[in-house]
Amino acid sequence: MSTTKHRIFRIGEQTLHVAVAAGRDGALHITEDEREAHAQVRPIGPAAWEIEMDGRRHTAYAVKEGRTVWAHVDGRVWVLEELAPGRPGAHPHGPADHRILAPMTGTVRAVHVTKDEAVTAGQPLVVLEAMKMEHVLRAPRDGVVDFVGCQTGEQVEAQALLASLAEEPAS
Amino acid sequence: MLVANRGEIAIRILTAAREFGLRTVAVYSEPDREALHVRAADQAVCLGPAPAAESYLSIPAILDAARSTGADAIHPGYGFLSENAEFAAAVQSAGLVFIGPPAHAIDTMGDKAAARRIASTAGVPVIPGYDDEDQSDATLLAEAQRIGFPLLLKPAAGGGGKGMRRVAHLGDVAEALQSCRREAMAAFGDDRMILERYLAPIRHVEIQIFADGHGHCVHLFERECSVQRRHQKIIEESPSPVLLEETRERMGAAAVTLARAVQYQSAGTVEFVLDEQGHFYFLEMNTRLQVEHPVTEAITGVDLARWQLREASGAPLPLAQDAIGRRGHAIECRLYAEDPENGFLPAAGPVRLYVPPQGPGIRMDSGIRTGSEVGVHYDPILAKLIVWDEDRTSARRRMARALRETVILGLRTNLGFLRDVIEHPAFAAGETWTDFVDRHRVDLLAERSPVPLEALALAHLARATRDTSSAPGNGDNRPTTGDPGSPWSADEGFRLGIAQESA
Repeated sequence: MSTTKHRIFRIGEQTLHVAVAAGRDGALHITEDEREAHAQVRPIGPAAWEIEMDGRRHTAYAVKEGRTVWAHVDGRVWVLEELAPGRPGAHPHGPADHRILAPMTGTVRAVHVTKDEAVTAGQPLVVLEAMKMEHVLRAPRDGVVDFVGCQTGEQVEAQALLASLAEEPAS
Repeated sequence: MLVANRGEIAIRILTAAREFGLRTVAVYSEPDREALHVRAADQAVCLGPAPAAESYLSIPAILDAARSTGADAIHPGYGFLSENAEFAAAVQSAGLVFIGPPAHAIDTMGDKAAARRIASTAGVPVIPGYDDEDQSDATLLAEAQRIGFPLLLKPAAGGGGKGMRRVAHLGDVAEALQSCRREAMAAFGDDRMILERYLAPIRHVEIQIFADGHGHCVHLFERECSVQRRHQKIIEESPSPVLLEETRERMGAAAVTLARAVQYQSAGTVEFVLDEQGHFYFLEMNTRLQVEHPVTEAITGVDLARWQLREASGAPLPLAQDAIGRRGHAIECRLYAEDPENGFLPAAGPVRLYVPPQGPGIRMDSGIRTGSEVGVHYDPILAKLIVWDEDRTSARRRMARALRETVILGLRTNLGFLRDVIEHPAFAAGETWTDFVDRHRVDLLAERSPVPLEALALAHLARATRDTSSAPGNGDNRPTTGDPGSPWSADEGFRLGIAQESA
C-alpha cells in the first residue's frame, strides 16, 4: 500500500516537482524530474531523522517555518519553499533589473536619489546598514528612478522594495 | 565581577570567573533579556534598549550596574568598550578594577596612527603609508596619489574591518573616504583615516603577548589569521603553516618590545603582515582578549582569561618565556549569521535548531541555543568552533568533520562555506593568503546542484509533520517535531529531546 504526494519546491531560481510515495515502516520512494531513489527514514527526535539512501546513512535535520523548510543533510543546508500547486513562483516585484531590493534587514543610512532622477549603471542609490556593516546599493543599469520607497533612518526588512527604475522603452 | 559584553565572549569570561571563584554579573539590552549569557551569571542587569549606544556602549549604564550589584571588577570582553580608554579610566575612577590593560596603553595603541609611529621608533617595520593628523580631503587625496594603488583606507580609531576599504583607483578615493568615515564614525565615534599601501599577497600573522604589573612580558607564539572576508577574519590557526622558527622568534621579540614600550599589562595581540619573502610589518596592536584566543589556549594549555583575572588581582605571571611550550595544531572557525552567496551580508533570524558538534579535541564557544533570536543590532557572530589535533592535517580533518556535524537551522550561516574553505586543496597546502576567499571564489561559491534527494525527502517529511506544542523548546520558536500521527513515528527509536541543544 502506498500513497503518492506531489509537492513543488522552490530553491533559489529553481523550481522542483517532487513526488513522494510512502510505504510501510519508513520506506519512501522519491522522484524529481529524471531522478528517483528509495529511502528508509525514521524520526529520531524533534526535527531529526535518520535517512538511508543509496547505501548511505545520515542523521539529517529539518525545521519548517510556514511553507519554508530548512533541511540539513551531511553538513549542507537547503532552504526550500513549498509553492501552492498550480501557482508558479513568479517574483512579486517584476523583472529583476528594475528593482532595488534590500539584501538584508537593516537601517537606511542614506538615500542618494529622488523620483524621476536619471541614473547611470553603478551609481549609488541607497546605503543600508546592518550589524554595523554598510552596504551600498547601486543602479543595475542606466535608467530613470520611478519609485523611492525608503527614507534615511528607516528600518527595512530583507527583500523590501527600496527603489525601482522605469522600464526601458520597448525597442 | 561584571562582564560588559554579550554572546559567546561574555559566557567565556563569566565561566572563567566562576572557575576562579568569583561571583558574576551579566548585563544585557532589552532584546537580549532571554540571551544565553544572561543565564551564565549569578546576577543580571538590564542596561537599556537595543541600540548599543544606549546599552553595551553606555559607560554610565554599565557603571550603574556595577554599583547596584556591588561588583568590584569589570571585564570588557572584545568589541564594544573593550578598547575604549575612557571606559577603562572611568572604571578605575569609580574605584573598580578594569580587567585588561591600563587606560594609557589602550589610548596609545587605539590610535592606529600613533601606534604606527611608536612601532617605527621601536625599530619594528611598518608598511609605507600616511598616519598624520591632517585629515583634509585634499591632503588625503594627495597622499593617496603619493603612496600609490591599490591603497588601503583604514580608520585610525579602530579595527575589525569596519570602515576599512581597498581602493583600486584615485577616482574611487573620494567616495570610499565618505563611506569609510561614516562607518568609522558610527563604530568608533572618530573618522580619522590612515592610508597604507595595499600589499598583496600577504599573510596575516599575529603574536599573542601577556604582561603583568611586575615588569614581566611574554609572548605565546603566533596565530595565522589570513583567511578573511570583508577584511574580517573567519579562520585562525596556530602554528602558521609557513612561519620559520627564526622569524617566529623575531616577531615574538618585536611584539614584546612594543608591549614594553607602552607599559602594557594583561593580554594583548600584536598584528603583523607577512609578505611572500617572509618579511613582516607591524599592522596594529589589539589591546584586548581576542576572538581567536582559544587557538593559543589549545596549543599552549594556558587559560588566557584566567591569566587576565589573576593579573588583575596583582599576581605575577605564572610562567617565564622559556617555560611556555606549544604542542600540536589548533584551528578556529568563526560561525556567523550571514549569507556567503549574498556577499556575506548579515542574516538575522531565529535559531530554530542548534546542535553543536562533539568529540575529542573539539571546543565550541557559543552564544546561541535552540530558540535564540539573532537580531540586527549587534555583530553577527554566533559561535566559534575550535579544534585541536596532533598536526595540521589531522586538525583540518577534525574541523571538516565537526563543521559537517554542526547544525544551525532557521537563519543563513557560513557553516557550509567554512567547510568548503577547510576542504579546499589550497587551504590544505597552507596557501593561506588574505585574498584567499577572492582568489578561490569560483570554487567556494559554486552553486551546489542538484539539490540532493535526501533534502527533498526531508522537506516532504517536515511539511507533512503537524506542528505540535508538546515539543520542548523555548518561547515561540519551537522546532518542528516528529509527528506522532505519521506512519514513521511508531518506531522505537523515537525519543523526544534528542535533537535539543546539548551544550
